[in-house]
Amino acid sequence: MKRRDFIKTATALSIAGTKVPLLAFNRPKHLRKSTGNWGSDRIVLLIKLNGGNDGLNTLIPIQDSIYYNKRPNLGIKVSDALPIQYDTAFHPSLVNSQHLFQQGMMSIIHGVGYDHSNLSHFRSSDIWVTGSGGDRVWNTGWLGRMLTNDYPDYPANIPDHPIGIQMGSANLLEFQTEETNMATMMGNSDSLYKIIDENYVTGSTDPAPQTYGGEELNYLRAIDESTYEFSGIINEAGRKGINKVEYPETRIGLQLAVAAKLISGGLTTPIYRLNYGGFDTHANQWNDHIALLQELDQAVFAFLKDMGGQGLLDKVLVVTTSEFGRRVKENGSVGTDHGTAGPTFLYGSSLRGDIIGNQPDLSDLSRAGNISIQHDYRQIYSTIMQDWFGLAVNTVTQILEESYDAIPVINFPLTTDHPTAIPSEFKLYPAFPNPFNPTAEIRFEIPKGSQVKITVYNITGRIVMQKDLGFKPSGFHRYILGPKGWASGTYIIQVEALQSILNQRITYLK
Amino acid sequence: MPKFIDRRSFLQFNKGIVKQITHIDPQWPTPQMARLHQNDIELEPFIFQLDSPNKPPKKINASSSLSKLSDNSWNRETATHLLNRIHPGTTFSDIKKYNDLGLNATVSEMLKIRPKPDKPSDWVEETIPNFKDMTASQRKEYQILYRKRRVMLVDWWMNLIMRDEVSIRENMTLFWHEHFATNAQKVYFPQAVYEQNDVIRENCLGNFRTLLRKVTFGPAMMIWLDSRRSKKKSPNENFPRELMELFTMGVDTYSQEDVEAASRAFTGYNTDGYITNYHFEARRADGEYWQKHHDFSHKAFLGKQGYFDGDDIIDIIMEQDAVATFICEKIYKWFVYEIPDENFVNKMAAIFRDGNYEIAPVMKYLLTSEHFYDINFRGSQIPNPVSQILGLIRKLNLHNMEYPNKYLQRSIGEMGMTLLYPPDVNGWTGHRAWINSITLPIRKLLATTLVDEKVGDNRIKFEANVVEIASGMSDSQNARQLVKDFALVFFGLPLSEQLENKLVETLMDGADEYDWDINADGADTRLKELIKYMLRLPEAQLI
Repeated sequence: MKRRDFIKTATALSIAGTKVPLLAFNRPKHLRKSTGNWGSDRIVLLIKLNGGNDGLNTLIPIQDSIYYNKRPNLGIKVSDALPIQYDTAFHPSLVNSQHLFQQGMMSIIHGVGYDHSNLSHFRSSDIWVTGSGGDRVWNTGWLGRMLTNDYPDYPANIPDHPIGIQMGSANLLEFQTEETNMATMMGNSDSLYKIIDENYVTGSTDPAPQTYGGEELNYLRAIDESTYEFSGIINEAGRKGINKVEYPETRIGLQLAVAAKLISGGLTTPIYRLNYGGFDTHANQWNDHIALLQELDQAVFAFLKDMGGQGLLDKVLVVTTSEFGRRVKENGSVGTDHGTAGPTFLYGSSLRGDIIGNQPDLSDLSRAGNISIQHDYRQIYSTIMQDWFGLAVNTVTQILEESYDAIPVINFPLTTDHPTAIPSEFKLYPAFPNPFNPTAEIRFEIPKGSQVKITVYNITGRIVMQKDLGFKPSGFHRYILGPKGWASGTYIIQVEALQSILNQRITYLK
Repeated sequence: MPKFIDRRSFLQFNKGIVKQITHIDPQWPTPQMARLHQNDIELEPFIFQLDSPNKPPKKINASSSLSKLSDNSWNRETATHLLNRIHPGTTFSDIKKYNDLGLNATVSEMLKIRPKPDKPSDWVEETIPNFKDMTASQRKEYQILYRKRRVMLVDWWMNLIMRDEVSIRENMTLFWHEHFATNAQKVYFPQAVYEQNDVIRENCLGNFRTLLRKVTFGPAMMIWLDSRRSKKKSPNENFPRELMELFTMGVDTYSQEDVEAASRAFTGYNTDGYITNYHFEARRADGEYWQKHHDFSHKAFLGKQGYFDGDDIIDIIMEQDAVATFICEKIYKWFVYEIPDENFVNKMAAIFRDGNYEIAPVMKYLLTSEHFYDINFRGSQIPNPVSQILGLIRKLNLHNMEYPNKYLQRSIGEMGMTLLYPPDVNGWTGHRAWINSITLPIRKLLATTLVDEKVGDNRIKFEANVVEIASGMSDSQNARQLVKDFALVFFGLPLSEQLENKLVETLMDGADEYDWDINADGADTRLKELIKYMLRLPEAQLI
């Protein structure tokens, strides 16, 4: 069976509720249990596409005539789109994403949403950030609950680094807990730090009165204290950190640039929530969408290159979310109205690089003309919590109040409860970044355990590096190439395993 | 080469949010103008959207009494609470005056209908020119001119708020402005922006149905929620949905079919940015456009059937009980506390319904009720940045100063609020959303700059005469009494003993409190230090 089909089957079975006992390969090195301290150094950057991104024009079903029938003006022609699979192409703005997908740096999940879809921005956003589902109203956010699990005393005990950072226009509800809010809103390091520092006074230590006024005072005191505490740390990270690439000076570009700088400066905050608005394209979608997707595409690419160039790529994962997709049929103003499900995009070097799910069946729409759900949005959260951060399944179920199967997109899942699939063949992924300096990731996977050797030749055929990795079990593996004293130029990477050799060219730029 | 993000660019993260509400239509006003406008978006007032950390609902333990506040409960503290909640910037002399006046007279005074303020300029009545006959550079001139005028309107309203006599009017206008959350940038024509603000002010304490109709069929709303683009062949759902969900009844009070029916009823209305094809007294639209584009067919809406137009839809909505509850709940949240007392709101709603949806009687009931003055609600509200800063300017007696153009707008905009430019249809979320790790430090900075211009940037010299303010208080030669009086003015919560001592210490800077002499050299400095200290405390953020 081809690997791709295997994964699709696995997904389908897990949605139905039964757990397929896949062979557990690739035991993660960092078995991380959820304790009082945040143990993993992994980071997730969640980008919310505010307004409801039109998935159909982002991930185009180029073989579906119904799509073109329903969108005589908005439909994107095959010749303009960027193909990534026989039945799927990217919107023409997503030039970098196409390359990233081809290099296995991107995973896509189709049809993400929830039952009893709500078409109100306000309500649907709340549903997404609380994890409540369409039929209930919750007042705490999924990230708030997840972080409370590890920081039950916050803000009485403030950890060293902010637990969650939020930028841009955002719904802080996502970080809300019963008592308080786990997010630190992000501002520019230098001048804000000075303002905070100069205007902080130690007030009274009287307990607040037991009135509503007192409750508000407690909230204010918590924000006041934590702002003061964290601003110093953020300021320092901002000063130490660097950006190794030029970021586009767009809203999302600037947010990612700041996040990259903080990560580079050593801030261990595991969650960044970024916000990018403008996707509510009721009218004139054509032009707006081009700009929106291009800005996103360029910004994310710059971010990945920056992280790659600083050897931080394996720590980060970028995930896009949106409160709903849009209706299939275009409206009279050359736009689209609110819809239901849409695709989620993940970027990073720890991904399988697949498309999970199928192009929506446009012949089987809801009464209002909307796309069916293929994946519940809480599965994305499960995937992040379990596979990326390594929380135990029980904990995740508690946080979401029900069990939602993680989707197998992540290649180095930290949890043992969720085994990965076996590769079907020996494959060498394109190295990233390329050209590179100072480090690049070489990624490969093998269907059976084997001795693995990596050799690097320069363009004249001379060996410049050789590394015996020893015995590696079947599965996905990663090796960070960090040359010392090499000249700039093209090199050939050779990975030897299972009596086969695979080659790849890479360029080192000093 | 490392790239540094300076403060300006960071804060511009959210400038692009304006794109969310622009929806530039190449067909309007002309394709050339649409393109120019798209490029010029940068120069609009800065919009920074905040959103709410939702508070978990807790059991209400405030008094659920529905009765009136007894006369002997009226004192300086209750007077302060009332004034703080309805008018930004309550000074000590205001508190004294209204305490002496008594509850009934004070509330009547606050709800009095006042003469209309002067319009900002004659251009609010200027007709819309024919852009199609212009050259590109002429059109560009108009764009720049209109943008300047929109910004002028913001300044005009801010000045009204700052200098208006003590009354509920501007706060009520702001409440309805937030309710109908219409963003001036998309509306584009300053005449339309002014018209809506004027209509709201005229009707803010009047009849809700009248207010609703005037706003619905005004040019600003027609542009904002696309009703002027709604035609028989492609009805637009934007306005009808928000009409029901945001303006009258709330979420889950209607079905998708109702939205579709209402959309068809609201087809055919049009405006050029100043004039509409609707006649308010006659309750109908007319003209070629109306005949051509209105859907005259039969509709089924909220259980009723008929050949409905926009007015009919509004009438049917106004028959629903949900309307009174929805509006009264919003009023409660704005004036009292973010978690409404269901019982009390129902009583307000009954008064609203019985009074044929007149707003003033509801306000009178609310502001004279025992519930409103419950001790639980003191200091339970975080004021919006406009009210807070403009209020502080009044408290420091700086409201008659000349401020540089747009200085106040820009400063307050950084805290997440620009009048006439709500971030989206939901308005400003408010409450705790005003306070986060960026806005709290900025609030403090701005507040302290007003007291002592050596703090913060030196663009403008603030000459707060704190000695004069202190001299008007109960006993300016008594340090402790001064502290208590300033606390009444700056804090919403009652002053605790520990904090009172701390403040006396701050004022006296180590000296004994009986050494205080307001006529001494340096009294001015000491008072400024005290006030700055108070404004830097979390307590100063509550009313």
